[in-house]
Amino acid sequence: MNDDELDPKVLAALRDVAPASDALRNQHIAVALGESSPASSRSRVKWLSAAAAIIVMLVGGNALYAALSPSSDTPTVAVSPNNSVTTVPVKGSTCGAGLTDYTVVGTYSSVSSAREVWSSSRDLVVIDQTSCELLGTFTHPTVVATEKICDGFFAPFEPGGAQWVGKYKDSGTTLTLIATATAIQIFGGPSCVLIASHPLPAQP
Amino acid sequence: MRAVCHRIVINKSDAEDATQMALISIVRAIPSFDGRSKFSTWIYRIATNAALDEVRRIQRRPLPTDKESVYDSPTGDRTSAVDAQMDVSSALSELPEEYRTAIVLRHVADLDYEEIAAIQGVPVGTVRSRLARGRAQLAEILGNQNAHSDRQTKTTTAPPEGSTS
Repeated sequence: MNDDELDPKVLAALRDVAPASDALRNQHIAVALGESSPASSRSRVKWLSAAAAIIVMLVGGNALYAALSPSSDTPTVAVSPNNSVTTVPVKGSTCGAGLTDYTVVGTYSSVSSAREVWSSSRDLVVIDQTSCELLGTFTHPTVVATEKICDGFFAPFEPGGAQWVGKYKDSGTTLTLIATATAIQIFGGPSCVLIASHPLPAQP
Repeated sequence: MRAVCHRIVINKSDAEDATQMALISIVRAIPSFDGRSKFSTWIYRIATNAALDEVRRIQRRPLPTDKESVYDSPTGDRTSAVDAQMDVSSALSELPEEYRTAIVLRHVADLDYEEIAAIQGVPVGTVRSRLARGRAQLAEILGNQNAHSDRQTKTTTAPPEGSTS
């Protein structure tokens, strides 16, 4: 037996997993395709779906209220160094330091300059660090509450051009931001999947 | 994929939950699969993450005491297979999580070292070391279990001291 082998009896036992019954297999497929749980035994999936629905209603309600309200105190995202500073910027992220109620998620390099990403309870903003131009404002996606944090998940992808920007919290769930050449992507959930991808202006 | 979940999570019911979560994640993420890794590696990555999530969730829970509800029931010959199956499941459950995951990905999913390294987010050398240590610990645990089982068999079958037969 070389170093890469297990005892054949152990290997056989290790691989001997009873196949799923037809009913269970069908249930798994139905739930995955419908992304809802028909079986009471999958109570956690149902609970998560309910939590996600509540988050959607709360976020949607706030957004609707903000959209319909004529009040001038509806926050406007604008890059202005004269605004009150409520966060402490990290090194290299100075344009967004003037944004009220925003905290920096991280910075990354584009072809022409560095970019900053800031997060508030409402949205994410991407700012060009050279011109302090606001490149994009993105509403937070609906997220399923999870304790999973995507640390180290993207390491194998980094040589391909994507850059790890940073982590931020939305509705108590930690999400990870990845920048590609053309978009800013949000990863999270129980299996660190792509939740949203927001295209950014093409590089000059 | 289901076998990977079962071997990492150990507990049958929780392994099915992990399998379910993995399938949901795969269905949701298929549009974003970019082909930078093999599709099978990508699937196993999601399954492994779902299984490890499940393991962390149940760590705060006491394990059930009856073996049938904890360990997977094997196929084939019941008597010897059940014993071997439960021994291996029990031994796997005693391994550190990172060793168990490496062993399962190598010997159940048949992944190579580079693929396991990508899934676990560690260098290939670390995978090699985890596999070597995991296999050694597994052999040691199974050896101890067999020795214990032999002792029990001898105790129950040996004639009482001083008897003449």
